[in-house]
Amino acid sequence: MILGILIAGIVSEVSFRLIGDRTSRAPQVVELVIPKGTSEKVALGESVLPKEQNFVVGDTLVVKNEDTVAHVLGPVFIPAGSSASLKLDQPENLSYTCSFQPTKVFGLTVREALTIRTRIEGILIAGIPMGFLLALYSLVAWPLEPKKQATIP
Amino acid sequence: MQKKWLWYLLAGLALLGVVALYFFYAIKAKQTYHGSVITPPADAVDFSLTNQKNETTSLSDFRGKYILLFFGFTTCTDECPATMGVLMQVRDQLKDQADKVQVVLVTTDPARDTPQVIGEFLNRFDSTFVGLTGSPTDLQKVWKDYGVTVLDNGETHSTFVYLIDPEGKLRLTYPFDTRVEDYIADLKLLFKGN
Repeated sequence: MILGILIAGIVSEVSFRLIGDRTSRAPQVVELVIPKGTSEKVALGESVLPKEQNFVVGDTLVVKNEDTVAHVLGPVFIPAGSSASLKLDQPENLSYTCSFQPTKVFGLTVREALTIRTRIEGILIAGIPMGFLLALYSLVAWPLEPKKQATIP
Repeated sequence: MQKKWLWYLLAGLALLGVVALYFFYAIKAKQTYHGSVITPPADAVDFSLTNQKNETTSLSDFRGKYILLFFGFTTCTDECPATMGVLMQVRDQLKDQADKVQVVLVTTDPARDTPQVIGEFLNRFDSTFVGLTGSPTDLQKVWKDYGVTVLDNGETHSTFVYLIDPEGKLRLTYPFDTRVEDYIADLKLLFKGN
């Protein structure tokens, strides 16, 4: 059992390091700044900001509008010179209409945060069954010998 | 015997600490707005349009009250009556504090929403609601100032509700599916001066 969990843990950790997951963080406030002149550039078909962004559940997106006109992102209205917040409470893929992209669409991907607890649960879910299987395999590879009965001389 | 009392004392202090923490976080949680907070509060652009009594009315006429501003049209079959219904319930549930709140509807369909039509529509919800219409040119400026998208002769439009404070500052915005209790919680926080 311990061997199974150990193997699952090693595989999980190596995979985690290789993928370089960015959701292994606590929820935080994420700022998106709309720079001055964005509306003019968007009118010319230029993209100033990223087309999408990733978040974890619990993040708060604060859109800071440094432009001279009001902007909109989905359900959020941001007057010129102000900031407006959007709380991301659900894991989902969103495509919000926005005024700061030539395509008028901004993508938000909200994922569950990958916490230590989640990772441990994953290791146990894989490791415990693996341990049982290893135990069964060991019975085949090294069958138990019947105990020799003591003989009375 | 003394050790026993010491354990009781420690348990009591621990319980007190847990209760204090609970109330601290409960109170802190209640101080969070449900709507999208605008920081710093922005000046709500003033405008003058025609109300359902054919009178010229400006947004600034409602200074001193919290304004819930919505853009829609009277022949809408979904978001507009739904939002008016929610705002009606907000005022109903505020009871004696309802007079602090003014609901204003600005039309996105000036061709069909005459003052009389708007008045009949709003009377189905709350006779205190104010409906505004005007020329397409005047309305287009208002829509632009508030980031309202209006397409398909007004039938496709943004569905924000804007909360403007008694000093004429835009404080919060709400998406279409905001619950009555969320509006009320935010308004009560604002009434307390937060």
